[in-house]
This record gives sequence, C-alpha cells and structure tokens, in this order.
Amino acid sequence: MGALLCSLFAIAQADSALGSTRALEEFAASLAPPDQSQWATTRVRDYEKAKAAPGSPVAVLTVPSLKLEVPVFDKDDDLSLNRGAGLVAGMGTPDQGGNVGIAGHRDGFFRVLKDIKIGDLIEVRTRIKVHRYRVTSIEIVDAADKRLLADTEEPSITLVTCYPFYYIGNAPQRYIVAGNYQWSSET
Amino acid sequence: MRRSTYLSILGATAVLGGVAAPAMAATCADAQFSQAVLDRFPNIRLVCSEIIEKEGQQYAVVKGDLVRTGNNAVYMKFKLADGTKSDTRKIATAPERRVMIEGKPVSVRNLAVGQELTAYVKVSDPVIALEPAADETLVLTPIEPAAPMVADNSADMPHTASALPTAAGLGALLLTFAGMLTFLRVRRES
Repeated sequence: MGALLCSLFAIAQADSALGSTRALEEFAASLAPPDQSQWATTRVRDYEKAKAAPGSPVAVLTVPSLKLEVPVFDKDDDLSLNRGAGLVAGMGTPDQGGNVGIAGHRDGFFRVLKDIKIGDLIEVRTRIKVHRYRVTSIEIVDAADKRLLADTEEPSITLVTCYPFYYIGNAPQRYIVAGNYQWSSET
Repeated sequence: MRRSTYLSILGATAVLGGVAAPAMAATCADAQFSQAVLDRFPNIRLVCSEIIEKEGQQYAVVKGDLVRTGNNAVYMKFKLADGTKSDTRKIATAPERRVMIEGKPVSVRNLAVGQELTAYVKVSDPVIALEPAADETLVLTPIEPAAPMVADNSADMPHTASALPTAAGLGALLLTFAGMLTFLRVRRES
C-alpha cells in the first residue's frame, strides 16, 4: 500500500514535469498564427475551434523576478493544475479582459509566489498578445472569502494558491496576489 | 452701362472665387456634430483625431484602447488629446466581423485587451462603427451611454491543494512502518 502511494506520487511528479514542458513547447509552436486575411469566415471559425482543443495551454504565465514560467490551461481541475496553472472558472480571461483568475498548487508551480513582492511584473502571453500586470497587493484570506475574485472594470489579474505554503492536508486559507494591467504606453 | 459692367465683374469674381477657393475640410473643432451626438458623446471633440468623408457622410475618427470584449460587443476607452482616456464605451459588433488592427484585418473574436482600435462616429447621427477591414462594410450601431460593465461574480475559490503530498506522506509512513516490522521480525528470528 505504502509503495503504491509513493509510486502514485512519483508518477504525478513525472507527469507534472513532462506535461508542463510539453505544454510550453506546444504553446511556443502555436505562436506563429497563419495569415487568415484570405480565409472564409467559416474556415476561421473551424480553425479557432480546433486550436482550442482540450488539453492545450491557452497562455503562458511568467513572473521574471521569480523565474517562474508555467503553462496556463483553460480549467483549474486537478490534471491542469498538476501540469501547470489554470484559469479560474467564472472569472475573466487575459484577452477578453476583466479580472483574470489564475490558480496553481502551493506545493507545485505556485510555491515561489511566497517570494513575490508588490511592484513585481507578471506577464501572460496568449496567442494574440503579451499582457503585462504589476503586483499591487498580496493578501491571505479565508478559503471561503471570494471578495478578491470579483470582476473589475479595468483589466486585472488575481493569482490564487493555498496557504500556508507548507501544510499537510487541505490548507484553510488562500494566498492571493493581485495585479493591475499595464497599458502599452506604461510598460 | 457702367453699373452693369461693375455687376458683371463682381459676378465673375464671385464665380471664379468660388471655383478657385479649395473646399475647406472640416476639422474636429468646427465639425457640425448634431445635438444628439453631443448628448450621447459629450467629449467627442476631445477624442476626435480627424474628420473623414465616406459615401458623402462626415465621420469623426476616434482611437482608443480595447478594455474588454465579449457578449457581441467591444468596450473601449478613447484617447483624449491631453493623453488621458475617456470613460468606457460599448460598441456592439458581431464576433465574426473583421476590423483593422495595425493595418491588418482581424476578426473581432481574435481581439485582445490592450490593442488599439479605430472607430468612426457619424457627425450627423449618434451612431458609431469600428474601422472595418477592406472587404467589409461600415456597420453603424447606436452610441450607447457609458455603463458599468462589471459582471456579477460567480467565481468560487479554486481548490489549489493537491492530495498527492498527503498520499506520498502516508505512503512513506506505511513503508517506514512496514520496514520497522520487517526489521523487528528478522531480529526476533535471528
């Protein structure tokens, strides 16, 4: 039983490392979009559907000060969070605006967030654009406190992970990093 | 005779003058915006960068940053002459329409926050349109008043705690326990 559980953990760790590397490569390869200026509208629609195939990352999140680079998937389910970070359901997306929620495991990719500082740069690269945000607040809230997930008129970002960072079992709190959008002229 | 000659010269001068004088292009400052446009878009003169003419109609060209997309609309903040931005404006548009971004046609569904868009405001009517791609027509929609666009919050706090470390810890504990039992049994047998 013990060996089985340890094997399970080892397999998940391997999947995390390989899955995220593969996802980053896949995303990089998809960054050169084809010239669609001559395409029919229906063809463009089909291409967009195919591009959004399940399991493909929708963006790459980078925090240069933490040397963090992680693929972002469109869901925040267990598999996605094992291989990277995930968009929080019901919140904005980087290209569409609003408050973009990105979740990650505190014992995985998002553990480095414990060292993030106000003013640090957060970049989210989608297939269309690189969005830049500047960290404006870092808060620890109760796991049931949804205030910081509220929509915003100006584009913004909210990174969410569990807190305390070192804790056995379901952590009772959440570590929330919020950032404001940096318009092109401000970067 | 003298009077008719004088009048002829005066008339000819007026005609020639009318022909020779170049038609003065309207500017943002002197464009005759209708009251309905000014009511719906009070700072139109401040965000207007030039007046153009299309199919016999005058349009004010306004540029701005895309703030949000979705629900068959784009939301923009227009750039004022002093470098600040206007309040947010909604422009209804179908997602499959193509607009111009940095000189290239892009479908509305592929727009992203932070991109600069150009729109046309009709001088005589309170309608607005995004700059269409070359093969598209101008689709005018009513200028909507600036309105809050914040959505109702329906997001729940995500579960960012994996059960795997707990499983691994339990596994390690069981292995240690099994190892200890084995060690004790071997020791007792020897």
